[in-house]
Amino acid sequence: MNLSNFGEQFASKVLAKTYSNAIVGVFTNDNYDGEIKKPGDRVNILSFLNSGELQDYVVGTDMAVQQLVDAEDQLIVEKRKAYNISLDRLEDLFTYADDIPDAMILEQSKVLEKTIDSYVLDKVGSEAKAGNWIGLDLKVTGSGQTEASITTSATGGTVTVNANSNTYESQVGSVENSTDGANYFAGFQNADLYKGFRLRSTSTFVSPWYRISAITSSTVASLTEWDEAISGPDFEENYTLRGTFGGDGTSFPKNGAGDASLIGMSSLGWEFQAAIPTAVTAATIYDQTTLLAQALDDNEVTAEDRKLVVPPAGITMLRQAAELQPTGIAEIYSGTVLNGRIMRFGGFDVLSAAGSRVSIRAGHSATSVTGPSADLVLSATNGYIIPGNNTGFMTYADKWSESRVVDAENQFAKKYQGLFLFGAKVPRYRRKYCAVLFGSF
Amino acid sequence: MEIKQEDLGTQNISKEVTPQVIEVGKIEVAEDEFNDLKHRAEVSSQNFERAKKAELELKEFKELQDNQTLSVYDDEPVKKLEEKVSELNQKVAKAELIEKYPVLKDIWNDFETFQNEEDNRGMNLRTSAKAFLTEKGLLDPVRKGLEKPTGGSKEPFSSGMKVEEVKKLRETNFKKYSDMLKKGQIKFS
Repeated sequence: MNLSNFGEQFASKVLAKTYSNAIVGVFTNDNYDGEIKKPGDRVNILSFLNSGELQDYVVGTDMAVQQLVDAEDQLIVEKRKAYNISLDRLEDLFTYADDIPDAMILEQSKVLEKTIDSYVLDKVGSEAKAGNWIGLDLKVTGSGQTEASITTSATGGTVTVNANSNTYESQVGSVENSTDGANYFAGFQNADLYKGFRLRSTSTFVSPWYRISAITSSTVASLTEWDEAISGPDFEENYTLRGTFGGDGTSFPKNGAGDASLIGMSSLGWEFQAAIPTAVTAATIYDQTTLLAQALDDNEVTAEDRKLVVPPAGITMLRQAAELQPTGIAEIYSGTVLNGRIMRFGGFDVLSAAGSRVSIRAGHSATSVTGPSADLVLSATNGYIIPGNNTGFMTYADKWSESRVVDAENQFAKKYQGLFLFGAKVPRYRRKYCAVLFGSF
Repeated sequence: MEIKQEDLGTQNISKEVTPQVIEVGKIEVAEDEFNDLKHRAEVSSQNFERAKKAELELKEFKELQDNQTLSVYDDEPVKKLEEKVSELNQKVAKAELIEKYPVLKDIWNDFETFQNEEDNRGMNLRTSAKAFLTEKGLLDPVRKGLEKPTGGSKEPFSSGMKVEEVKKLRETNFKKYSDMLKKGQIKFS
């Protein structure tokens, strides 16, 4: 092989192997428009924000025209990874192998594959719809000792919480979680970012799940709608958050059902969705993953092209799960494994994300003692962010923009230099296309 | 008929017969000659009659033709209709001809020129077309058989893409490049 051809050969062989093994190829879509030319370039993703409408047709009457609301999200090719490889050792190999050694291609593609997969899976935790998380919720029951209030803002709202406020001003301390009976820190932590938060009067009178978009302090956080909308036909007038008059957790009638607005109520409690990772075992994993399917169904996400990305430990549990015995519902990819697909059940193609590609995040802190914040000893359990999604959720774009063989400066040798650019984007409206199992193995 | 006096004198001298008195205005001829003369007179009379009859018929025909022409072209709409029909007939004939000989479509003007040449005027349209195409060598039968040997390229056949082609595709249309990679369609020559 001629060394001057090395650049193109290397790029195409590494990419071909990466595309066939990386889960990014089936986990995301590439429905973007535009050509990447350099780092930082933007490509466009077209979305239609409103649902289809059907109207009653009356003979002799003009039909109303449905206006399509389209939005163009921009995907920024933000990641750039470079190769700079000395070729003097390889040159000897080419003389008899006449090709780039397979082992080299395999190793290089594995690194690239892991880099891309980790990048797209890391976005799940910040982009999945608030309200679509499956885990252990932290419920702070309302009482005379608690206060949670929301004031609406231009982008959504600001929530302030105060537990044990009579004793400790601007502190939240620890509370007992009614879900599991353990004690947890009651205020905001970074672990809660982008998860769901809601106000709670009773177990059947709550606000919708709002997205925690920023945490100002342990008692103050910014909230937005899951899709960051601030107005629309399902918003109450003069409110920038939906469902401020509350509902039963599923249905939130506009302007309420005779109850007052939650925003003006006192002594409210609050709730963090999937604040704590739920323990996943072979006995529970099947049930837990079916809850992901339910979350997608609740959002009317199409049943086609659903993927479940599981770390190796989770794959083992799925194989051991009684529900998938004796044959497993379908280990249909037992032959050639492409893009990590190893089985299919519950409407999901199960993808095995090798190594540490699936993101891990700390859960909300537990406390061993009660009392004011300053006295608490906090400990958190890490959990995997396991996505169950439709491929419409995330759009991925990449380009191997540079590939060349150059003379090494100060040496009589050559070097290969390559530049790989990539980026991914979840249009806000498509956040509902993903549900997350926050679980510990 | 002209009668020669010499013949009459010779006859009287050689035979020493009593001179006969010849009546003025009366001519005697031999029977054969008389029959011949009579036949010729009859034929001449018949020809005259025929010529006269033919002349009459010609006159009648011309009169009839004049009358007919007048009756047709006096009516303007009919005239237009006839022109239209004639035009349509020409178009149909042209279409049929092109259907049979598609090659004529591109060289129709040449064909019309050919038709209008003095030697070819009045020829039936199909015959004219056949003659035209033959003259142009466009009616030669297609020869079937082995292809002519060309010698071929001396370069070995390549089933892959050149490095330059792959590079250009990668740089200018990466989406297609990656699609082809996924399908295993990029192979280097």
